[in-house]
Amino acid sequence: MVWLSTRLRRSPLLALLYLGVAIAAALACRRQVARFPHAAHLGMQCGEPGQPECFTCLSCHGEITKDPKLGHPSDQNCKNCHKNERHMQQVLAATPSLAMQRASAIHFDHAKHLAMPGVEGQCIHCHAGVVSESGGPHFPPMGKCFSCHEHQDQWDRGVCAPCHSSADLRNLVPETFLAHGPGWDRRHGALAMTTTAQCSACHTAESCDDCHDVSQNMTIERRKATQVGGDFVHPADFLTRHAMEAASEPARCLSCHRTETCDSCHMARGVSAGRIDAVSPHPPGWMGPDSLDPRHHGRSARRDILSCASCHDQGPATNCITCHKVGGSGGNPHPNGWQSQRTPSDLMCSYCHIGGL
Amino acid sequence: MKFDAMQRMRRQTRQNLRSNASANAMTQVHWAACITASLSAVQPALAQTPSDVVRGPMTEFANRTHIEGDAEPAQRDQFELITRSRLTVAGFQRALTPGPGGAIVTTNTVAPFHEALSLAATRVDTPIAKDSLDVQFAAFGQVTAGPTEGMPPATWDVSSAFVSQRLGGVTVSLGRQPVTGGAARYRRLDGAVVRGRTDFGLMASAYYGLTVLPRWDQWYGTNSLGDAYEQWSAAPDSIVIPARGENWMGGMSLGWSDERIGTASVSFHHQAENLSIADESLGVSLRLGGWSPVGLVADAIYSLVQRDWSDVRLLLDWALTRSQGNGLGLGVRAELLHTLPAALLSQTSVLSVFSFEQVTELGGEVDLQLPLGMRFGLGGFAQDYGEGEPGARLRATYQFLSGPAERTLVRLVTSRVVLEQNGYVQLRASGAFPIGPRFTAYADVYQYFYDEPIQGHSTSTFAAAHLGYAARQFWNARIGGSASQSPIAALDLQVMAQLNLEWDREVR
Repeated sequence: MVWLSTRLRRSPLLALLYLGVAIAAALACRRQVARFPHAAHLGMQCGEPGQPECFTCLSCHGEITKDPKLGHPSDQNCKNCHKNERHMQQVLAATPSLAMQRASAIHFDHAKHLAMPGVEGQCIHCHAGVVSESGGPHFPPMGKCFSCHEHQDQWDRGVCAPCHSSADLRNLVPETFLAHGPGWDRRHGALAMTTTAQCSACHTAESCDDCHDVSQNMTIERRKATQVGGDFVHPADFLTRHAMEAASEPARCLSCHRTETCDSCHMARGVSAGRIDAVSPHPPGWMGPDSLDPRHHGRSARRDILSCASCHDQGPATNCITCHKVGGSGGNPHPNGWQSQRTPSDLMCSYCHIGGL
Repeated sequence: MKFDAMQRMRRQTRQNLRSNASANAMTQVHWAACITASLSAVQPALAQTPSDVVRGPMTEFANRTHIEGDAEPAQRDQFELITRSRLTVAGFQRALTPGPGGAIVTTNTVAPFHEALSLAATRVDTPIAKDSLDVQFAAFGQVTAGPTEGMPPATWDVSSAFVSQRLGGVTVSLGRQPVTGGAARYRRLDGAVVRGRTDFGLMASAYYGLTVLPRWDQWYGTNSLGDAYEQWSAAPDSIVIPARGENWMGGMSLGWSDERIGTASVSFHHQAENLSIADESLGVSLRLGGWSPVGLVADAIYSLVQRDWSDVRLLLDWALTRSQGNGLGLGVRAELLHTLPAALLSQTSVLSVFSFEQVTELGGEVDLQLPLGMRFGLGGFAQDYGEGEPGARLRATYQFLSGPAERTLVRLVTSRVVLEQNGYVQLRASGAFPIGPRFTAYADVYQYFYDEPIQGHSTSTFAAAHLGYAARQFWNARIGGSASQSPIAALDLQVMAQLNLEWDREVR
């Protein structure tokens, strides 16, 4: 904490911005969406002589049996008992129902389901918790549908219609099945092969290309600049840190990039081995005779060969070959335990093993 | 609805409410559990506690009755047509890329126009079968106004363009498309992919085609390269220009899947560059716990060229509860990653035979979701590089979602990276704040503190702000800009305007 306060004192702009975010968070807390007082209406004394008629869910939401888009009550329902029209309008306007928005996007026959044996018109079977005024489930999870319906074949084929509209699917985020929770960016690759059909229910190949096709010359952070809740790979001034990031997670870059990607920029900026007038970025002692020196290139190469490849992956022009070829001064570059299915006559091997030696 | 049925409903509603008179004193979950439990005594086939609802439907499958889908088959062809266009116009000074030796270069003001276009038609009827044809196309183009420093002022490429025909359990896809997962990892090919699946969960796929070579010849300083490279290269004659027919890939996978249990598969991938072996690998994938709150993912790739494991991942997910709405949720994730970087290089690279050093990463994350839209995350990974000092990555996240449709977002992130050479601390504050029903303001601020100064600078600062407008349908627009200060740019200012057109519709 002391460390943080010190840093923030050194950067007043950042401290100001953090303060702004904190104030915004506090203001946002006050703007929790109000929920309609269902419990007060459903739990009141009713049905006895001198008391009003008891409510059911369909007393107000009856229109939903005709059309899901009509599930939100009109003010006419309220007017049957309440006289303060302005107050009614305020309550209805203050309780926009996310569930209703979703319900209108699902092809679901309420009338048919309510009349089924076992349901007996009880909405609570699926809408448990809807009467809560302080949160709770707004909308039945998809698992509720699967508790009765056998949809294995549609699941296998990734067919979500007709319950879902494909157009709406692309605006939803999975909450239970295939939920894209924390760490999803690291996990999705392992699942992509076995759940291809399910992925394609919402995503097209463009979704993959959007991140993995690196030839677009515009990072994903630029393309999706307003997704401020995401953890992309190249945030902020990534160029300053890219060597650190590559060293920290050595193989991650290769998920999308080839070494040519590195070399293309290093070449242009004059720090590539392939460029005639290149400026060496390596420290003194890099090529020295002391192979035990922490700055010696051999040690760095063993530890992080991908960083070497970002500049020196030039095929037969690779300058490593000059010293490390058979008979060269650099000695055998193969590590202990080296094994390969290649033979010295292989084209790549022949760069060093001249004549198959 | 008949009168007696209505009366029965009303009686049951009253009974349910009265039998839970203490509902106000109980939590939401417990309250709903009481109601559902009372119902379950009457209807055992539909018995389900809310905890089942929030955990996932594993128990639901055990209890479910088999009811046919209630959809009426459409008589006419009904398919989805998806079109998307994203036009991004940026204006910036090219200062974030350093000059020779990392020096700050003279800036140029440029304005790239970047257009990404995609079209897809899915579930189209064909004479072979109903709802059996998919067509997908995605491409981009870019035109740059201003000095381009030798880069071509215009470029474009096709990312994907393929047709998929389903026939029973078999799908055949032809064209430019990605292949993902297993030994293939992520590749793109111009060719054919065949996927099949039986009713018993057995699945198989095979692919063959020419490797998609990015249009790197349009960018200076890259392999397969243009005049610029030949001028700059120390040995231009030794560069092998890729020939299309000599770069190809093929592979296959076999597996079994049951979404309630999991998936197991083995895969093989072979890729050639200039007729030499670039990659030849076996993959093993295992996923357990399809419907369960506990999931295990194991993914391993064995390099047949290097004769060693090139990439091994073990992931254990434990969703103690899966939150619905504003409820509680806790997720725990553990991960083991073991990589042999040299084996993931193209095996046509000489450098792939220079190192056998392996990297092992072990760590985990905890994600806690609280009421009122709050979420906390804490994660840490330790890394062993085989030689030299170990490294570590730590991160703490606080996130808050609020408002209608959860349009208000506040997010604070602190992370720490420890490395032998250098490391940093990152602080990030970001947020999205609705302004009326259509406008949203976005802010994103990063600050980096480096352990060792980079070119004399110990910090980097990046701040971005955008304003987005979302129309009711079809389109949205964004304008914004960013400013940054870093060791390689004293001040970098960028502006951006973006127009997105989306048209996803069912066509009948």
